[in-house]
Amino acid sequence: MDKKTADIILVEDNRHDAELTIRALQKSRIANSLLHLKDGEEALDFFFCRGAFSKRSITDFPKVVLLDIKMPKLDGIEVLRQLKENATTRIIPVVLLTSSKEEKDIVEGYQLGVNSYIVKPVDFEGFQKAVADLGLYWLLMNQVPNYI
Amino acid sequence: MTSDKKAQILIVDDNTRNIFSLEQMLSRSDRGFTRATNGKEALKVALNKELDLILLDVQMPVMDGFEVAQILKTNRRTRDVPIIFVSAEKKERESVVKGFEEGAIDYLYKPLDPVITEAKVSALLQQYIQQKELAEKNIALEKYALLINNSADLICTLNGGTLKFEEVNNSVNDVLGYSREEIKGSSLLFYLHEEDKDNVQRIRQERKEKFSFETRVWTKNRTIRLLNWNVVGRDGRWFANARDITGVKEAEEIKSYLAAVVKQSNEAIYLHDAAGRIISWNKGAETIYGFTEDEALKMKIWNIVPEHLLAEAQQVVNNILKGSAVQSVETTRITKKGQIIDVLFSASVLLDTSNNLQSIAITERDITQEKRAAEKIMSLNSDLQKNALKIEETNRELERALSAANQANKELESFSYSVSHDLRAPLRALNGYSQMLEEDFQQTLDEEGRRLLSNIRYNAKRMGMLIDDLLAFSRMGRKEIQRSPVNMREMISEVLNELDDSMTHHAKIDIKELPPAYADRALLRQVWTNLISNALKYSGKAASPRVTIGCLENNTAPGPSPTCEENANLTTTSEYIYFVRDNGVGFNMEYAGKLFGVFQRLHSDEEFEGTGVGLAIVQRVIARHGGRVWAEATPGKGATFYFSLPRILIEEK
Repeated sequence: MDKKTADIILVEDNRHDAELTIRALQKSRIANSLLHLKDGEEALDFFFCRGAFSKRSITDFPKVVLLDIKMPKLDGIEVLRQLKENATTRIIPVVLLTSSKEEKDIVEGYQLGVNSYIVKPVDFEGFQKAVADLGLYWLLMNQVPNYI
Repeated sequence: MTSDKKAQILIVDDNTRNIFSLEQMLSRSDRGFTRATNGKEALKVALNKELDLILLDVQMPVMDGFEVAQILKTNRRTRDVPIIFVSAEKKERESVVKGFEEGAIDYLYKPLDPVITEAKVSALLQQYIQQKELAEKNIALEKYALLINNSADLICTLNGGTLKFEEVNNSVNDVLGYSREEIKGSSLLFYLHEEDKDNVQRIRQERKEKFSFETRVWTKNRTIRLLNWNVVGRDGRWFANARDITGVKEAEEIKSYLAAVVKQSNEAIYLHDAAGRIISWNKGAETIYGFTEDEALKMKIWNIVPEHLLAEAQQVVNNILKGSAVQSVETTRITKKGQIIDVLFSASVLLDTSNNLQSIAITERDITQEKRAAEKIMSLNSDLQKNALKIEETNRELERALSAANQANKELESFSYSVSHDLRAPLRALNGYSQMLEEDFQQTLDEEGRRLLSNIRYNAKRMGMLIDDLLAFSRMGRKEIQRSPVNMREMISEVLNELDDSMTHHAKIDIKELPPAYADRALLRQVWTNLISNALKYSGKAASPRVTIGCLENNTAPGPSPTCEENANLTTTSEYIYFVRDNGVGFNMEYAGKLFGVFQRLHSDEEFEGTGVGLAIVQRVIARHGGRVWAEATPGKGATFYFSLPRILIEEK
């Protein structure tokens, strides 16, 4: 992993879902700066500059994190919790991506301070639209503090 | 002196010839003779025998007639016995006559003249006998006087006309409080109670010889006494005895009251003698034992004692005879019908005035019912305890079941969680890659290739819908119901707004009056959404689709069999029945039973899209609200779906 940071961090264990997501973002021409992390552990290593990412600075914030919930070992909710508990990483916008409409996940996500939440539709068109809208919003529309 | 008794004459003469001639002279059937030939002998006879006359010879050796007479006159027993001195010389008389002035005394001179002798003897005898009789009468009168004056009864004589007291005894003081002097000369009428005066006057006028009556009289200190009079009426005079029976009367009243109490008592009260023979038997005993008084009086108490208690009962009788009383002891007895009854037994010995055993008095109270009740309460209590234990056990079982259910629920939750994530991801990939294929290889794919890809995508999408609906259905079962008042009209408007325009735009939707419900908003909304979208869907092909939404006001809808057993006992009057009616394709009622099953459909997916979960959700939600769902339809003419909600839940709010 040589990439220090990117505008979009995609944390997704399912490579097909990842490919579809990236394709959707590419279609909207906002996937130029995207880093795909394969699971929660890798995500935490990245954000807290550990292991392979020990050389990066914690303040190299991405513009948005797309975080899948259901992942092996460390799930998205746990990653979210650690990000939001840390005073430095707390301000990173996180969007939860999930296949489920489980109310439990939605509620827990918002309680932990997630910035947005989208359910991945089964049909690709709907999925593509949702991802594209999301990417545009966070990359182009959202005004973040200057120090980011 | 009675006539059948002979007059006893003692003849004293030292010459037996003289005695003999006197006896002959005086001999009569009513006279008996005793002889004495000297003074000493005469005294002996006089002291030992009751004599009525002594003929005493004056000239006798050792002790002459005067000396004998003097001794006789000093003795109380003999001093009144008349003496006739028999003397030879007249001159002797002067010297001694003085000494015998008192008491009957006379003289005869020898030679004795039979006529004079007989005359003197019979005169003296008669006089003495009369005197003796009088004395005896006096003694008798004195006795009577004593009796009368010491009688507790008021004894008196009254004037039979005026009823004035003439003679009264001392007890007048005790009875009426007046002295004899005060009462004498006053009329009985003065003392009588007003209400008794007429009666006494009437009795007086009857002039009976012997009669009795009772009167109330006023005493001197103005108290009322009750007197019982026994009167002999003779010569215009009442000889009356009045007994104060005030106390007796009171005692009698108390006695008769007590007798009534005993007789009417619900308790068995009876007496038996030392041998156990029953000698009295009251109504309570008749009731408790079933033996009549007549029957009981021929029985012994052993007849009403259960066999195993006979020895004990005998012991009790023995103890009572020794003077110990038994107070309220629980025991059992046996009735005429052979029923064993529980009684509270008390017994004591009854003695007469001279402490002789009269009988044993028994009272028994039938406590069978009380005991049964107490036993019942005890057994109920123990049942309750058992039940409590059972309930605890049941609770534990329920807790176990609940925790098992919770466990199952958790498993189900994690299962559905997995399903929602894991099953959808491959579908999404399937769908996405098909689309990518279509996009990226447009030039190389021909029409057929695109059609096949489209079918792949359609099926992936459809499987996604099935999974979504299945998860939704599973959530319905798990979600806790949170009731709140629901305005049904508003809710239906919201539902209609959310439904796809393509479904609603050309249908005529008629919403009737809808009473509010008390239900879980989200779940009920799902029900309306499913029913209304079904109605729109299945009437969508009709010439002019019409959907009517309403509620049956008086609940007179035909009562179908409840779709959920736990609600089967609900009466139709306690619920509101809502319905959604359409004029669509309807269905054959033969398959109505399949309507509400999961994934059960009556139409092909090509005719009408759907997964077969909507009505299952409706059924599940309504059942969880305590209601029922059912449907009526005619193929080609439309269907009506009903669901009921218990009114009590609605009015609870």
